[in-house]
Amino acid sequence: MRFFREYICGMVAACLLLTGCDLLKFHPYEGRVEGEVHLTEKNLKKLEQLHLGSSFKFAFISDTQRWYDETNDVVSHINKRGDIDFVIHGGDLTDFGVKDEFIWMRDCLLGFKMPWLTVIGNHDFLGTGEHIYSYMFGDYNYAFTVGHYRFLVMNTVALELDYSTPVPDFEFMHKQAEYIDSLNTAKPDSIIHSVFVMHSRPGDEQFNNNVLYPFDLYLNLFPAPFCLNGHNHRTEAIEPYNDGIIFYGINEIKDRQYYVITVNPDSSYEMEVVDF
Amino acid sequence: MKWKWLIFSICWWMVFTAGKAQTAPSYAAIDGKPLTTRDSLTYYQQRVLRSYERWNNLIPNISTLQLAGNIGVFSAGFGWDYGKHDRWETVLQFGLVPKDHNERAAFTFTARESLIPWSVGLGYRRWAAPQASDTHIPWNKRAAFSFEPAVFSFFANTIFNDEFWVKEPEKYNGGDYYRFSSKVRFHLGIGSRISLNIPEAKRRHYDRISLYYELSSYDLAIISAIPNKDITLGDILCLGLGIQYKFF
Repeated sequence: MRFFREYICGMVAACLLLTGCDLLKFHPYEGRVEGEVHLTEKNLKKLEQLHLGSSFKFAFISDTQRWYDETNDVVSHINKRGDIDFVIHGGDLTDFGVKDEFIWMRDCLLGFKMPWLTVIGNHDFLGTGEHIYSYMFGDYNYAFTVGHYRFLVMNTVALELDYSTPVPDFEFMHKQAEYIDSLNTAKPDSIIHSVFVMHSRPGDEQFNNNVLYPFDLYLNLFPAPFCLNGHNHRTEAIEPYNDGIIFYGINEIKDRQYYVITVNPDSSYEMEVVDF
Repeated sequence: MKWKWLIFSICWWMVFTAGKAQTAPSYAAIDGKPLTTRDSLTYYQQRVLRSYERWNNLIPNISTLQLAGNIGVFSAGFGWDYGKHDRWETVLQFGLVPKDHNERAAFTFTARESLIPWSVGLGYRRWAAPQASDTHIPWNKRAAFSFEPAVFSFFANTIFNDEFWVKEPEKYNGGDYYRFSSKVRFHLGIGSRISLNIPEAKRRHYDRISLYYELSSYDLAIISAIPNKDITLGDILCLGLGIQYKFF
């Protein structure tokens, strides 16, 4: 009888834990995060384990907020191609910064068979979204190397932070420039191209346009830079500073487009817009 | 942080002291004569009595304690029932959202309007004979238990945290950029409730103790689910469990 009672109690407790916990939500903007977190770190580790050479191929998607069906479609489309080594997401994973949205979008993107990395967008800052982002993904600014390419992922949505935090972070850029210099002095052509990944680009209302030109000066410290950005919901390649630095903007996922960037063995690159 | 706990304690005190019989209280007296019956009262005395009774209607007769339900991990509230057969309820709730991975914990405030269209009496009170004075109480409340199969509620929740805004700040294109309020969420819920009706002789603190659950969803989740077949009803639903104390 006692065993039976304990069994029943255990079953009830287990049911509550298993089914109840997901449903017992505290608040749309609560700080509890279930499931996988620290994804930037995990994906960077996975990317490292791929040991990619000087030739590789990656995809760039952006602005997937509130378009979960399309995001699942792009995930299966990219998986099916089989030639993409990793994927970069250009920000705006959520529309309102609600925790549920982060969970849903993360679960869509976890479908990628290859490593995937994100940058924070302005919508991800709404409410307490930035704290969820930090916990789920990691730092706003980070860098990694693939082949002869140095990728610099940067938070550029200054308006959301009321200009109280350095955005874009010049200290980060300065240190990265020094690091690349040291690599190239030790072994010439270690880094041939620098890829800046950002959500909003210079000139956007979200960018800190007080540093529009200083940002260009800093970009020129890097070897052959080009930039990938989202935010504008347009696929376009523009040259805002007229100095050869191209900003490749990608459409929102609702319009079913993404970039495939092919890096050749000689470290030149080709951009391709894919409709799916 | 300490003053926030003080506010929370005061809310609790309000919840526990809420609810009084809606007749003239014993302190309602004129010339030392208590106003307990309407017999042999002058026009003036009746007018005073009516005034007391009207103000007494503002004394809350519901208190609630809720777990989860998208309005805080715990929330305590007080409220009123009114309308024919007390079918309508208005409850004000104060909740706490824990810090977890956010920057800080936050308090929330909820205004809830519920409609309880049906109430079914279940079982005779075997453990206490019905009181003669209970005759004015409807059948569902005289039964040992009453069951309310559907409680429809609409509630608005606001969070006390300076990271949120009701109206967009000027910096966003003069307040025309995101076009929503991050601070106020509107929820729709449906649930049911089972109540233990305490007979008059046994009453100590409450007339009725109810347990309820509620499944609800909020505006932003609903508009996310509508265009996406991959976001299911199970994704957007939220469960709240609660206990409600009531004074008839």
